[in-house]
Amino acid sequence: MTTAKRSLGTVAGLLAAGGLGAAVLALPPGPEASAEQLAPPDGWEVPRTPWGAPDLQGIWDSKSTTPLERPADLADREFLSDEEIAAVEAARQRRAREGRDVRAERGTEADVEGAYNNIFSTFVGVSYSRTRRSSLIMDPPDGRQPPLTALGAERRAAVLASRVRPARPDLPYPVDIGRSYDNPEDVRLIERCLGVTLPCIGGLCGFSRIVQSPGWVGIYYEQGHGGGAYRSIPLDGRPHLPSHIRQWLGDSVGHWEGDTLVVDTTNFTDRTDFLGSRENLHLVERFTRIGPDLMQYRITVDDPTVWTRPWTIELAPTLQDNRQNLIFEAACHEGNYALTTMLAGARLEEAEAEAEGER
Amino acid sequence: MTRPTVCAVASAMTLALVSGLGAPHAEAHHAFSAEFDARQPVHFEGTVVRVEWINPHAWIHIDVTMEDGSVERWMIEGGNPHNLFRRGVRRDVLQPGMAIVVDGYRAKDGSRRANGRDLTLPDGRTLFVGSSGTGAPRDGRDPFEPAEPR
Repeated sequence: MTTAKRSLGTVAGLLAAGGLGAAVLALPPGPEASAEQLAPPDGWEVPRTPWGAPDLQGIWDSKSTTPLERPADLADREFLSDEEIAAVEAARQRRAREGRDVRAERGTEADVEGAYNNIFSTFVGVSYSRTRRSSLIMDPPDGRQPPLTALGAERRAAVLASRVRPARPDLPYPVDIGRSYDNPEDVRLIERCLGVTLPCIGGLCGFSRIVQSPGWVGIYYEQGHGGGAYRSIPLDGRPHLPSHIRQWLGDSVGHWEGDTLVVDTTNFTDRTDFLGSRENLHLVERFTRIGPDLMQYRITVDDPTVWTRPWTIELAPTLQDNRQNLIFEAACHEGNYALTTMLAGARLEEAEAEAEGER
Repeated sequence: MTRPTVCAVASAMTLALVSGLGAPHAEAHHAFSAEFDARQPVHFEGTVVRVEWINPHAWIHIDVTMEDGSVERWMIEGGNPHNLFRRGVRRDVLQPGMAIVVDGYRAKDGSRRANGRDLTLPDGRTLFVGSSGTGAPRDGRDPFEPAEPR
């Protein structure tokens, strides 16, 4: 038995006793850096559906405060110790508490922006990934995205250049002003109820429900603000759709490799953008249940037009209580009064600006 | 007696629209400044009539008694239902007949809509300012989370 397995067994046992929060922080320092750090506890067997497939069903939370890329000051550290994670968490909690009541100057756009946006920026209730990795990216080994192609660099630069006004680093919530609202297409996907794109990680993505039937896996992504999305994944060995058929969430086909669900997704559109990758995005996701409440979820991202090599993210979704985490439905467009109000507000401002110009 | 105040700050502060390219943003949030007017802060003490628990945002309908005794119905934009839900703001927390205080900004289009910059419940609790109990309710990972759901 490895130290890694022993640690996770302890976590699982304490979780059952309801003491996970304190227990994780109190664990002894982790083992030497190992790509196999997450492993099932001894004696634990993957639960199975009545038809014998590994049972991945339930509500899973993949939120974490682990950064996507490894911070420069941790360049040679693949994993953090429990003490380091505890320190990072304590500092973050402190910032969240202290930032709760911070407001910008009243009567300013920055204050308008603070309405409830600080609930996102404080990120309270979310903790460091149980992988203990210093970055979500596990490959390349430096924990950072591979070098970009010329096109990838161009798109990245365009994103940076499009920030029309500087953010307010002094405020504990995002301030996002100065966008164009000439038409609905100017408005970001998340404000148009089209917010779920793949891979659904970070931001409001976090809670998903997996259901299974013989030959199929369904994943529902809860993303209240952005709508939510349903994904149906056939496991019958069918090929991908012809390349001229493009879908918002791409075309996913899956199969089992041992107890791991492998899902291959292509056929994206040019309307979604994951770090510069659009219609050529190719995802290979690997879902492996590795404990009573834990999943290993790896996503290999490939788009040779944007990155010079494929790269892989590892997340550790945790199984959530069904009763306490009822998933909210995806219906969104019907209640999106904000979209019309934003466009109407922009037209009004234009009229005001014109009237000012004539005076 | 509720005493609404609708303040219009100097209209000379005309806001120039700045064209942007609509950058993808890692943060998940709503650009409120496009919808609501920083020059029109509002303060309401009103009574909840109903709550629309809908995506992308919940809307709280309130009746506000104006200084002349008339009653105006306003819609207050709140967080998205699943975030509110995971923060313990459920149907039983925000019910019709409840007196609430809204501090926010009026919609730019002049409709009786406002955002709830701060929203205070009768027991003094404020919504939308990051309370500690969030994320997955009581999964034990937030040391500041209440022991029992509210």
